[in-house]
Amino acid sequence: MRFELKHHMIAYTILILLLTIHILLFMGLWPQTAAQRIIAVSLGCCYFFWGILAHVKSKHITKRIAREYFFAALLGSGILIFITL
Amino acid sequence: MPNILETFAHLFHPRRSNNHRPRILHPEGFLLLFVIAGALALVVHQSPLLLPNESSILGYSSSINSVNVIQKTNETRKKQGLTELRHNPVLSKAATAKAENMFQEQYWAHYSPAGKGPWDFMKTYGYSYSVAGENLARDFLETDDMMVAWMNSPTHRENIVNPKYSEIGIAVVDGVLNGVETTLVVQMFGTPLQTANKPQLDVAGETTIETVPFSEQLLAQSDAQLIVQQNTEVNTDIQPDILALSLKTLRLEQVPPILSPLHILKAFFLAIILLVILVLVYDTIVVNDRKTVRFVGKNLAHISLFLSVFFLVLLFKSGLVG
Repeated sequence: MRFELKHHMIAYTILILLLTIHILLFMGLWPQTAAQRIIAVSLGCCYFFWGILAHVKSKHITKRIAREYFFAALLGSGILIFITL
Repeated sequence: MPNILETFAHLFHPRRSNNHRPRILHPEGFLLLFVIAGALALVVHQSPLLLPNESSILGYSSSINSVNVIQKTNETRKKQGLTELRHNPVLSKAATAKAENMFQEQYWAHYSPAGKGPWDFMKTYGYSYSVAGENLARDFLETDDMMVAWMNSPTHRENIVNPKYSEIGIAVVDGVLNGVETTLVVQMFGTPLQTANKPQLDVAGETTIETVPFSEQLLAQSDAQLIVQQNTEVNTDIQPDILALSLKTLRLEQVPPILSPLHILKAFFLAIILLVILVLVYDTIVVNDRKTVRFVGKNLAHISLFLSVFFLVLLFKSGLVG
């Protein structure tokens, strides 16, 4: 894990920033659930593209990896959308 | 038994049968969990409609009362350097009628399906105004949360800190809306016309209701009267504060809702996310230990994402403003 963090420091810094921004926006927009749903979708999209870019950069990208990021993002943002319904 | 253990290992333990990645962490695994989460949300939201008699189990048990709402509203106005709003029983009566109408006609909006607006309720109770406004809220458990939500919304905030208003009326009414027990809060603001400082109440015959300043004394009096009236039928001629509090008391005599739909969903969703995080951590430890080489997504990134979602779900509060 240390190796992973050390060799992809910039990628993980960007990810943490993205997640932090979305967490703050999601909480700050309460109780406007429609706006929170938009943030949830944005979080999913950002995570998916971050995953693709991070793997493209390290040249370890396959369709299966892309699908894994897509469905992980779908699960994460889906749960946030369902909770705001 | 061996089959169950095999399935369990296939789902949660990295090994040859699952290509050295727990099956639950495969794209299909995430998709399956997404479908389960969606189905749970659907069941929880639809169950009150499918099982209308279960409304005593599902619902929002609120601690909000009109006393606190008026106090918090005036505290907020004071902080803005504005004058306190006077409590007007006529406005409270109109607000109570509006809340009851929402339960009767099963809607949650400023205008009823028949097109009846807040102004119509005010006029029905003889409140003549030069300016008026209305804030709505539902499903909040605490007064403070509701006030924060109103203040976070520019349009509701505008009503609360509007210097043009001089009077306030509040209704906090429990009931069943779309199959779920909830507490509706109707906050009405207004400034009476100069010629109508003492508005006439149509429903109470020729009785003149004076605009009275909101005070603890009045509320203590209301509480005292409430004890006497607990076992009597609610009628529309009693003071609005008493009416609102009586409705709440009558509701409390019944069994309060055990679980809110949000609590059920939160419990299920947190369990799902926690399961994914634990499997991700376990997978990371096992794969690092074995030094397995594989082309999959980054576990650390997935853990970061699901931890973020976990905390957002954990901290999410109920409540809607309108």
